[in-house]
Amino acid sequence: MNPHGNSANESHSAELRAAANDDTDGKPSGAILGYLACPQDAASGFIGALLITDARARPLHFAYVTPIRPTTMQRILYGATLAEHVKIDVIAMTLMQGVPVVPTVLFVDAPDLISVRRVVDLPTALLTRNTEPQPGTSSLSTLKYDTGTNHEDQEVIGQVLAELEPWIDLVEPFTRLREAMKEALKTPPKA
Amino acid sequence: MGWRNRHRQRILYHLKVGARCVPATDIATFPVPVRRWVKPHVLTFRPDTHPFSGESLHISAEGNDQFLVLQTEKHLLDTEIRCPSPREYAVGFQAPVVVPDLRLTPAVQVVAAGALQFSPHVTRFSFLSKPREPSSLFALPQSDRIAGGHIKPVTSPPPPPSLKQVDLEERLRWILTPPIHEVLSDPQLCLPESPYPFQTIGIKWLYDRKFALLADEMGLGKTMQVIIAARLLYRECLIRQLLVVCPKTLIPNWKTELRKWWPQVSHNISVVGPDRQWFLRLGTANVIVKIINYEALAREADWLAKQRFSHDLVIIDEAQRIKSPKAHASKAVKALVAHRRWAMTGTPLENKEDDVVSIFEFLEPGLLAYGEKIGKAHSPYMLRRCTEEVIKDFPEKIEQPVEIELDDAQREAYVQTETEGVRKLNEQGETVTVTHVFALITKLRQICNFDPSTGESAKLDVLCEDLEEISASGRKALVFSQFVAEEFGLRRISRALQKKGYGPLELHGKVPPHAREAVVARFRDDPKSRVLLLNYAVGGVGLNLQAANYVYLFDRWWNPAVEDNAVKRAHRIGQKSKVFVRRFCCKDTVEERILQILLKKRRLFAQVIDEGRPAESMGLTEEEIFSLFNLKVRPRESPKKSRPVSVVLRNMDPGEFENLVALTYEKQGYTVKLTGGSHDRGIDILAERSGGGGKERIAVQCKHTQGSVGRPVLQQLWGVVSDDHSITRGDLVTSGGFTAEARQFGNGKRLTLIDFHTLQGLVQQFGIARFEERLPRNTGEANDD
Repeated sequence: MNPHGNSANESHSAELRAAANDDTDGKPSGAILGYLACPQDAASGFIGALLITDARARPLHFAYVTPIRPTTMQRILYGATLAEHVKIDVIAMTLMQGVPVVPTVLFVDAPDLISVRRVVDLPTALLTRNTEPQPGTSSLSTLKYDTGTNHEDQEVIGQVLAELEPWIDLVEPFTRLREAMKEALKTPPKA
Repeated sequence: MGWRNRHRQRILYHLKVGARCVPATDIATFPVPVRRWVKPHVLTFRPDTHPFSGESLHISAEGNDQFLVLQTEKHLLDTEIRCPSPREYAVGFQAPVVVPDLRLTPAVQVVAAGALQFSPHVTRFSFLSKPREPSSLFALPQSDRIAGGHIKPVTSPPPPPSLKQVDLEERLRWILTPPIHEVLSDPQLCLPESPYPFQTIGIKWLYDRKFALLADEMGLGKTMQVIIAARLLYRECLIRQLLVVCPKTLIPNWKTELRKWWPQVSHNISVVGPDRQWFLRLGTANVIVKIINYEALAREADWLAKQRFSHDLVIIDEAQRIKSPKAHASKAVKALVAHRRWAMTGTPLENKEDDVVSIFEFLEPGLLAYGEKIGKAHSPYMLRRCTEEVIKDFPEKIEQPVEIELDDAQREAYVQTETEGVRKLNEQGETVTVTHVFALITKLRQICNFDPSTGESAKLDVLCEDLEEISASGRKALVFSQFVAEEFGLRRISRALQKKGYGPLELHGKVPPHAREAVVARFRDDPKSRVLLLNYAVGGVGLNLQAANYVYLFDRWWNPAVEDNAVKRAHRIGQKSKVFVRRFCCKDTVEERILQILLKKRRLFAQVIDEGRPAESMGLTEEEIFSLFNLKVRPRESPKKSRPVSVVLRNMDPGEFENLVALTYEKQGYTVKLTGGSHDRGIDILAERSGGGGKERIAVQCKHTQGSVGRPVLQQLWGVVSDDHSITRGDLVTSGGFTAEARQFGNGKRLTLIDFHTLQGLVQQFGIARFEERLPRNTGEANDD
């Protein structure tokens, strides 16, 4: 008999785990982070992926869309609105539909994706590294964010960043996201 | 604003306000986008008046898509368009047109909405569930990701892991898992110190492996790496409890390290008590870490062998304790059933390659075989780093061999004892044994420490001179000796140093275990305690004594690994200054001769462990011991007795075993050929015979082991058999057994597995139980006799 196998032990184990599992002052946020990227490639068209992570930046959900290659007619008809339409109304909306866990905030990696806010009801910000310190500020943050015209999102985004930035690299998941997207698109979809 | 945008806006306006009028113009094409808020999705376009021209517009259309495109050529026509069905949309509907006035050419065309619609294909992966058993992908040498679970054993030669070897989900899991340094920076971990990069790699390496031998050089923080890796596994619910097996002297050290690196389990640590069986059997309440010493475990060896309960993770510290497969501790450790098995030691090889084999017999039985060159089969599961490789600015270790001339009284006593001893040994003739020689060596080494009559000691004089300077500079020293006794060892040194006011502390077998932690703490914290006297057995392993900068090896141990371990008590992470190692050796004595053997053993260690090459010789042989005194006589070989086959097999060397196997084939009518030194892809014997069914050619591989032969060996043999169609079958003959996995692999293949019992039957059947018959070794030629 496996001595660990009984239910009393299981339940006790859960309690024990809770007691022993690292409750410290550096309590992590319960925030769920969404990362959205929709790069555009001349050859493959529009692609996009969404990564949802926990507050430790560990993956919870990953979704990607196969490349969207607009036809000539679509390019003509959508004109200058094509990119935004495909990225926001098609890719972002599709990716956000049916996610198993709703992010607390959504980070995007390009300015044109900030407008995803009009189709998703989530605080959204462009998140980049703060390579040049802002003159006149005393902020030690290595990140900068931009919520575009959605000023109401700044408070939530600021809170999440303040809480998590000391502990994890909040921009790094974009690297994983792009790498995963690249890997996924190399693989032909199963029939 | 261009016309297209202007019209689009206008159209949007119409639709937004609920208008059903869709204007058409003489402009080539324009889309009619339907925004999300237009619900329901059914649109109806009714005949209306063109807003610009005032002409009547008869368009009637329904659609459930988001776009409808109208196209005209030049004229706006009164045109009625049939409502396309959703299916027609999908296939690109060309609207038939009812033309009320034949004078007007119908020109309105509905381009199916599907042509403008984007239909992205989404693929989703959820990682919300608990980690699965990952593939070998997570063992990528350069990867910085970690993942829980079992890495499947890599057969020999290990294929390089590749992204292509696993499915997309597993690859994405690997890519999306945060790098190890991100995991370790988790706020919940709150590590008191940041691990060195090589330690981070070690933690990841352990975390990813079901069985592993962490063989970092002493002082590189093996315990810390193991604790953090176990902690991460615990956080991921991959283990619930772990059992640590370590020497008794290291239990306080383990508790200290656990308090430091996993403080949350401080109250969930249990050290074995009198009821060891209960302790080992049960996932005891309130316990996450169980610690047991080798001796206590060894007492349960027989009982353990009958049990089948499983541990989540078993960690054995100072794994060289199980280097001897026959030792009780070794048997007890190997009887433990565990899902994950990790071993730690800075000296995986103390004497011979079989030391490593024995450790791997606990980790992954069958991976290595006794009596064989270990090669690189174990390399995916063993991680070893040296201090100089991984810590560039680590304080230097300065080796200072100190050659000492014996005092007159010592010299006289030494010469007299040696002369007399050698004479007696020679007189014993063929009855002399290694034990007799050892007794003489011990006596001489004791004289090298202290003269038995006068108490003079050249070594002590040198030590005292040095300590004066060390003490004056505020430094501290460790002094190691093999002997503890009042006459020749640490006790005597202690008395002498006490008189000189150095406040020596002692740590050896005569110090009660419960008092040892206090001794270490006092040496570390008390500035007046300048010297710590230790014997190799107790003080040589697992202690952190970075407070000292000087290490004295007052007398030498037989094994360089043990000496190195002693030195590493001070020269380890946390050391801030140079460490001076002074190895005493009395000139023209047996110590000097032993030193030569130690150097030879050091080369052996470097070859096998650090370079992975087979060693040229094994350990300290009987011949080497006798050679210390140039003895002219050797003990005669004991007369051969008829012994049970099992005993004979166990005592054979691999060459003899091959001969025996060859003989069994010869007795069956085969012509045998020993491949000898050529080791043709692991084949030891080729056995051939012709019969009614044609020529039979068997490739025989011999494994002399007391353990079980695993699948990798069989795979290797199968590789040979399947490559060479002239080989009828492959036979794997072992003096041990086979793992279930190996037997399964052999099923349905041209392979025959001959274990001990079958071999025993053959040996008895052909009357070769006494093995007097021997085939010539390494001839490389067929034996046609």
